[in-house]
Amino acid sequence: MKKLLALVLCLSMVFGLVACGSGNEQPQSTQGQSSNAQAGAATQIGTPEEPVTVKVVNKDLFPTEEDVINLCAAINEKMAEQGMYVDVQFVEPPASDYATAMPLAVMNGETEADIIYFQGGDKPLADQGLLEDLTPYIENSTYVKQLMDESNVKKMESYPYLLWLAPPRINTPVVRTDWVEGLASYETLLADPTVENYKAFFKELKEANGAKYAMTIYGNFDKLDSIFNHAFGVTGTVIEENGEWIFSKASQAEKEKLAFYAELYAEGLLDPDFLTLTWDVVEQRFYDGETAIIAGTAGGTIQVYDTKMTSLYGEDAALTVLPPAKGVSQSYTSVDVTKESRGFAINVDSEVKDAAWAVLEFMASPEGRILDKVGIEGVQYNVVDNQIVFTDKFDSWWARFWDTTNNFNPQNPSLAEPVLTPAAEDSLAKVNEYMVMDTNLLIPEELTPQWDAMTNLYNEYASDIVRGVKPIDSFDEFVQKWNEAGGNEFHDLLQETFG
Amino acid sequence: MMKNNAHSLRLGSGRLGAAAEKIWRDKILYLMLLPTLIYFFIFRVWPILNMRLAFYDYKARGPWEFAGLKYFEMLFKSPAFAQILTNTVIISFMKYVLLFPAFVIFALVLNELRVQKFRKYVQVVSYLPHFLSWVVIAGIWKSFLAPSDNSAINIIIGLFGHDAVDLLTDKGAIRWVLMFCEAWRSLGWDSIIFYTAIISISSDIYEAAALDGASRKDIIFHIILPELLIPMTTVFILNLGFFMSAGFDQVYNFTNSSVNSTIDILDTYVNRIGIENSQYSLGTAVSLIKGVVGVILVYFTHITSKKLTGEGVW
Amino acid sequence: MGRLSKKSLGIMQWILMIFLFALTLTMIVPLLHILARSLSDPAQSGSMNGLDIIPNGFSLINYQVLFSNQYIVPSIFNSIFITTVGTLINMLLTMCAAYVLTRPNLVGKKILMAFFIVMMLFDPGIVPEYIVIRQLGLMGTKWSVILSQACNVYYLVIMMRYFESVPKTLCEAATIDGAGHFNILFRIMAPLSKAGIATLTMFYGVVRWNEYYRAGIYISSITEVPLQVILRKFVVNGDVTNLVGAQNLMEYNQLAQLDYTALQYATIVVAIIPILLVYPLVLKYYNKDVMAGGVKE
Repeated sequence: MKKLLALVLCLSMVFGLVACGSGNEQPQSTQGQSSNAQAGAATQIGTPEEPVTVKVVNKDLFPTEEDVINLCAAINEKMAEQGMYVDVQFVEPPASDYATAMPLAVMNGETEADIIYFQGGDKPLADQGLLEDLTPYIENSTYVKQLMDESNVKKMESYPYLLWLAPPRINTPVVRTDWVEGLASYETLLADPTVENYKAFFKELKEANGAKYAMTIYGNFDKLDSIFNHAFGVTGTVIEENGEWIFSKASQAEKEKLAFYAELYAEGLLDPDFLTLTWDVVEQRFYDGETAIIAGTAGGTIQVYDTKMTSLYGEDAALTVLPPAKGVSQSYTSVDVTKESRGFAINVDSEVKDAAWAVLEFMASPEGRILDKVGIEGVQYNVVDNQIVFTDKFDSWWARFWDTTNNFNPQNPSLAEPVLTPAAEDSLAKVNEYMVMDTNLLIPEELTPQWDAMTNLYNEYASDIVRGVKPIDSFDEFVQKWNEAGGNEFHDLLQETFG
Repeated sequence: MMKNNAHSLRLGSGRLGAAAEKIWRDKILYLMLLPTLIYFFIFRVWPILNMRLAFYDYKARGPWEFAGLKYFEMLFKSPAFAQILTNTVIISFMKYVLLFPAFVIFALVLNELRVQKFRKYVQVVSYLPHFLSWVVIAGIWKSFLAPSDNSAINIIIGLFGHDAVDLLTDKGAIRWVLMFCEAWRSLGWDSIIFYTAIISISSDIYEAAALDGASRKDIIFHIILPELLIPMTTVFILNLGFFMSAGFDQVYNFTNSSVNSTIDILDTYVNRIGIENSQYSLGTAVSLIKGVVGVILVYFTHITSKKLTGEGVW
Repeated sequence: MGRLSKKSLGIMQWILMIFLFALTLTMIVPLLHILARSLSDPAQSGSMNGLDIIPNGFSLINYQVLFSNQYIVPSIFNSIFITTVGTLINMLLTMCAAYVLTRPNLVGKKILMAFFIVMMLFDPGIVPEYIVIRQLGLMGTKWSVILSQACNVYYLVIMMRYFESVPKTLCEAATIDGAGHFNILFRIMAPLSKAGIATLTMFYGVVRWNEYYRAGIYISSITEVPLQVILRKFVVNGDVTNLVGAQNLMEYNQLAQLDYTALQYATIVVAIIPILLVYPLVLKYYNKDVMAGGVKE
């Protein structure tokens, strides 16, 4: 056995050397099969005898898993009913860190997948022309279009390579319902969520429930910002101040906000360990009741927190989503519209792009969405009295394609119980209610070092000011350093882009 | 070597021929070296030739595009670059130079232990932290050093009436924290080489010393330390080759926005602006810089050491 | 042995022992805490503090979850294969090269050493190496990892130091007796450098066992990668779905209310145990009698 391996090895080395001599492999020509996406979804795809093979790669989806096998079979069957004959296959994803390994594989032509899921690292691939421009496909689609919300549309306009039909990933703050019931400050807060009322609420919340801190965050201020940014006028990454477009991080609004955070910190409302904490400890402190409020991504993460909290302390401990503070404006973190941070792309080398798109489109259709979000009839759910009733197996099912709950309201049969817990549902609703698009730009490659230095400066000053290591007056010194480190170089670019 | 030179001088023009003759005589020796050489040529030289990527734009399709010094400029252009370089050098100096004697001393102390079982216990336990990844070690130390009043360190110094400290976010303390954690992690493991060198000292020497009535102190300073000179110079010089690295994983896991400006090193910087954006060329440019600096450092310390102690790496 | 007298332990000995005991305490307590928490009842383990070394309630659920992941057991075998075959190749190449490079009067020794040192100092980085592995056709095989790390110059130089400490007279005598180089290396040098060989075997073995970065990228397939790739994703990236298996995640989450930190600790225990078993074996060779024995022959 070992001899054989050694032999194979030697041979492969020899071949490798020969191959090396002949230089880099030339890419396959993609001209032969120019996209006929214009024809739309009505195009005939495959035949019953010879279905078109569509290969998909997605993080943590292994072709050998039972759920995945069932899902593929169900997609093939249901698409065939609509006259589209495909054979969907999941390709094994790289076992190492997906966000590093997948782009590396695509960059080097080491993947055979037609549909590729990314969560980072896709931008350089798009720059190299390795990802298909999805604009024509979307224009001709029926269902995908319906599912796209305003932010999705904006993102696809600016970066048409990655499609993600899911709620924007926005942090929403949550608190145990039984902890806020009967708190006078909570009633005041709901009536008028000003910054002052928020602070009063933090105080009473902490004292009434014997928590050590009102809120725990970790690493940076993102989660706190989601509540307070807009109230102080930090309404976007770039804002207008005195008739000029500047980065909000170096604005007067930011200064006022940091001064407020410093008060929270000084009065013991903010967890003092925040700079060095990790997510798991933060969650633990929340479950243990050491901290009253944490923030998590609307939808999925809130669902996890809610489920765990109720299973620990009963239904009364179900979570309540808090509104963003109101001031200059009122919203959670503005939604970045430069590009999707994750989503599906179509491999430019794919020979079956139309079939690949047809699969994505089908998964956005009512039938596809039931399959995606609820599972397979007879396994994850049963239909009883024209209602979808979940089985035990539903708990371990999750959407492999489109996670969005936008317009998800199946009729005939309809859902016997909602997919999300009330808190998770509410977090999504609130994100939608307050949604504001961000004003930002992709940082040009040549300015990356400056941008890096600037953000580091901000992080250092912000964390020092909040913790009282530096006085709030040092913010002016920071603005000066920020401009020297690159703010000045960005000046003209910002005026051009937004002016 | 001396003999060699004399020989070749006498033969004059026959010098090359003589070398060839010698090589032929020792052909079995070179044959033994051949697999290793082949390995290095395929898996090292070849990739190193690919490091020309540092001067090119990576292209997935077709040949790479020449980019000149673009990526080097990108590095040096950062307003923070001087600070990053300083941090790298200081942290490396603390880890590779300041900390170096600790490993030797630990090996000496182990050797002095007379209770065998206890020594074995210390050996086994002290080498264990080496196997924890930095994430885990950082987790342990972060909870130990946490700023809150009930963290272990603040309880301990509280006993002495000291106010609570927050070393992890203290710009003056964080580098020392890094050095201490490095010592904690590597003390047992990195002293193994020195320990094996000590125990391989022939017992005849000890017996002779005992007959002369030498004290333990004499034995350590006049027998053991001179014997350790060779492994010490070897390890020290080789370590200097990694001077520009300074330990990415550790810094990455210990950093926070308050102290990042004091412990941001070359590798963490490149990771932020390069790797996350698949800037392969930038990463390669840094590898190249690190390699060149490493070669220079190793070469000069080797030469110096050769002059001072007569010992080097080769 | 050089041990002077075996009378009572002096005051210095006691000071050393107390100091070392305190030192090892800082190392062993966190490790015992990791073990204890991994064995605790997940419902209670969340409240354990970092100095607790007794499990809080007892439960094997973390280990059950780990081993219910269908990829864990095969990955252990992959790790064993890569570690044994890899270390064997490492030691063969390193010993041969170290032997050759320590021969006196070797022509070209300086050039060879310079070459090796340069090889050590230039780390080509992942992309230049990736290209080579792909052109060699090694992508997706365990050999990509085994062969791409076949020799480490740092360890090679250390091996040379061990070989240099073998008295030259022994080799000269053997040469006169007509012994070939292989014979000298394996019959004379190796037995006399047992401690060194044991140490380096362990060094290489540990590197092999801990390899995750290249394995994850070159081997890629979850059924072929070593244990560390799977564990690493979880410990470092906090990637729970991958470890528990997406299929089981929600069920377990709801049934047992897993403590993820404890689960993480269980993975650390699983990864360290094999290494823990090896070191005491190596320590046997750190015995002066073994070292001295050869020279006296």
